[in-house]
Amino acid sequence: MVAEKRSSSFYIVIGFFIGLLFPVFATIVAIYNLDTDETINLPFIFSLHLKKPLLLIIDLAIPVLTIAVYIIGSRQEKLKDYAKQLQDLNEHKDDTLKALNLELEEKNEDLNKIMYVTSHELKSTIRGISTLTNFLKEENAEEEKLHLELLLQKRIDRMEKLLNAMLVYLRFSNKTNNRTNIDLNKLFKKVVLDYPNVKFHIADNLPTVYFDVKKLSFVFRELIENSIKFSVDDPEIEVVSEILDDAFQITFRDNGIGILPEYREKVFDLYATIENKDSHENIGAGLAIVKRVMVEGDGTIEILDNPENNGTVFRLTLKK
Amino acid sequence: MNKLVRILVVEDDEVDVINIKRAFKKNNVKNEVVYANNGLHAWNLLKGEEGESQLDPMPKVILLDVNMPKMNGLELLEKIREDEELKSLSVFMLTTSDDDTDKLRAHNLNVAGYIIKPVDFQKFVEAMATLNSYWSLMEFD
Repeated sequence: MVAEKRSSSFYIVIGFFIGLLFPVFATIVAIYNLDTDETINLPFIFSLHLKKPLLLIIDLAIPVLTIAVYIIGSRQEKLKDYAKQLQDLNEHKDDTLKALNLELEEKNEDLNKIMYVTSHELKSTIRGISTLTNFLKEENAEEEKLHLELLLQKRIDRMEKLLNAMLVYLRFSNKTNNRTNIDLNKLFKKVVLDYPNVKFHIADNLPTVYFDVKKLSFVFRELIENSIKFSVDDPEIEVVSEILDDAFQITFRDNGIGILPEYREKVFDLYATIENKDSHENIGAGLAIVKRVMVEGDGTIEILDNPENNGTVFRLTLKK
Repeated sequence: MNKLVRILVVEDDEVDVINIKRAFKKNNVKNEVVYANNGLHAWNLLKGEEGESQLDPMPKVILLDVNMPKMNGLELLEKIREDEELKSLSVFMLTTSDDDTDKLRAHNLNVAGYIIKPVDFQKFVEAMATLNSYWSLMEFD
């Protein structure tokens, strides 16, 4: 506990009275030594002090001690302030530590989950590779051999994709700390150059958002690639934005096969796919990473109903 | 009359399907095998829904993978156990997953067996041989 705070006038009064003790004592000694019959009153004491320089010097004890006690007192008060601040800091530190600990625990649990699902996927892919290799050794029919070889190649590719996805997922799992102001109009102009086969309809009044540019580019690319992967005709993507009180909303609409309402949560799970992995060679990591990036950046991503009933509508919300 | 029971294999992984087909062949399994590539597809085949015609005769044994898109093995198993017509089917879970919670869930849903897909094909053939003797017994019922 930190002691109660005292005002500076308290120290001035204390200093004054301690200082006063010296001249009073000196005066008594002086009068006693003088051995006079005169009446002892204030004018007499004043004249006595004026006559004796030693007494005048001792009188200086009053201002000197008043100032000294005042200075010591204020130092004392300052120390009390520091102590109070330290105490507050300590209490605050406990809260911060608790919060950090909780965050760490969550991160750890999350990592365990990622490692578990990834190792499961890898195990299943390796098992496929091993099975196919054995079958290839025994297989004589040329056509079947080609089929098995193709499947083997797909498994090896999947293995590489899985490892890459895990690395990206882990790399993007950190809390965003490289945020800058990003003009989305400029960012889109740059990103779309990499997709010449997609027809884009991008609004020209997109906002400037505060985010990690690498992560946001990844999100946009992933959504575009998702649209390409699940397109039926030539892929077309429309991007519009809306400004809310405390957030920006960016809406992506494509002309692909769309996602049924019952799978709109599931598609964001790591390695979850709607179609069989063999038919689309999709490992189901892209949207999981997108969701991760958005959540870590205090944003959200959701899939909306599409009233026109074709294509997928993704809505990103970014805090202002 | 064909006394061999019909088997439904629910598996999304093409390599695992090849694996099962080859293991059946090695064990001389003569039963008719129907393949569904996810839980929802299997459900539609069992119930004759979503444009699929109901399997006739109905399978008596199901080999069911756990991790599948659309509807996973445990979700399908839950639906089967709630369905009057299907709840007595023998279901063998067939998966790479060795997660105890999955096993427990499957166990509570009254599965006939839980087979961890082994990396070694020969072991898989042996597991299939054990299964084969099981449903051969069913055929004498």
